[in-house]
Amino acid sequence: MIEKREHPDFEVLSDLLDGTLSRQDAEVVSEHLSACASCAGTYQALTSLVSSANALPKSVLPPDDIWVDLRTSLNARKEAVLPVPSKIAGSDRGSRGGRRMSGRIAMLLAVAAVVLIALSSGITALVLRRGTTDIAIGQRNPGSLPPSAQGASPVLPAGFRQTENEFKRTIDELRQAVDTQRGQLSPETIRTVDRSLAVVDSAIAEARAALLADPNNQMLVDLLSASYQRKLDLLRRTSELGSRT
Amino acid sequence: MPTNLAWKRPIESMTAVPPANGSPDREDDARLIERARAGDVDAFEHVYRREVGRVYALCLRMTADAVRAREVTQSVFIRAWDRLGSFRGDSQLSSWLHRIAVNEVLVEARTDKRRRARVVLANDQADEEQGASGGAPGQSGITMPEDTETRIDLERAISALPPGARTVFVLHDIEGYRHEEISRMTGSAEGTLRAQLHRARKLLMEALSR
Repeated sequence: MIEKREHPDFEVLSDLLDGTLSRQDAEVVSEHLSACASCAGTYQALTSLVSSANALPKSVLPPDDIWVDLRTSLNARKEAVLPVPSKIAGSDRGSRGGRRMSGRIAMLLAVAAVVLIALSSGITALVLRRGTTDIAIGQRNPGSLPPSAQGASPVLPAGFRQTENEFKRTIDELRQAVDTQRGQLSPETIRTVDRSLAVVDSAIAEARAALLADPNNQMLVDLLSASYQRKLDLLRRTSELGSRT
Repeated sequence: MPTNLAWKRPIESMTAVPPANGSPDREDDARLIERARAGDVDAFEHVYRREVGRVYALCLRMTADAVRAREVTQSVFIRAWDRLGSFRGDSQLSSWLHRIAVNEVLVEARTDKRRRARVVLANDQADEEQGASGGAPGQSGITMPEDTETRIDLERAISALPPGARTVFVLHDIEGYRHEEISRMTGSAEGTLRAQLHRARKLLMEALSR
């Protein structure tokens, strides 16, 4: 409860402006403002500040070249993305059609994941066999690591770390979305998705370990990116399937 | 102070973009999204051109750093591209993108927290010292005519706020989010947010009355 005579704190004036004071307190403070020029001046200035802030432009011209870089990134991502034959909300697809679709998509997901992972793992195996056989052994025996990796903690290439963080964040969000939709998916689909995800995760772990041991190997960078992208695609398509059923 | 130095260059060329003609057309949005989801980058460019000004303004104000704002703006549209499948069309495309932008800036800020901890602490300490010695702000009476110079002064003062106070001020007083919405986005208690907002307003009034 605010006393009539006391000068209100700045925080109280700020609350008055936001309308978060109780009606009784608001009346007391308003009454004080009508009699105290100093506090009224502060309140007027505060009102003016908030009004000016609210009037600031909501849109600001960005540097011209953002889109050029962005387009390059999107085209690169597009190459790894399978076409998505879905519509946004408002589609009149019936639930029975959606259920029928779910079985087919589950099978497609499984086939796609297995083919892609087989391909990834094959490439990984090839890369690892080709001139870097000691890397896998080196993970257990530090003495056999390449000289550049000895004596230092293995790290991913700097340029790839941001890309990996982006993938991880998107994957986390999609994963959460898929988790909340599990109830809408058939048990068969859930099993297929979980199996496929486990395979993809294994491919990611394998490619990542190889890249940590050989951070300058661009093929491993591409391979790891592709593995993350596949996980992302798998989750995205599962999420879309969940939102349609 | 790195954030201020970083802000100086862009603020001079910070040009407001006039609002797009007409209101957003959901049918157009739906068509563009449909094409973009099928991999049509040109369709996505239409979305980008229409929305980037608002996204960039938010990123620039919240990061107070042109380089980071540029990076985050790119990340926002990359994530929007990745998540087109989850856009259901029941909200406006601009609102959906704006939410992604807010999340992206907050995530980026958390990621960057450790690196910037020293700078932030130094800023906060300096601001607290100034606040403690400055007494109640606004006694001299600030008038805020809506001219360009004043707007730039205000933008600069906002960019110099401590990060937490700046985030709440930008989201509440510029972007118009309510405390409960900001609380959901940031994970902070509403009481904490209100305290941050009071602090931001107080610091701004002090800065602008100098």
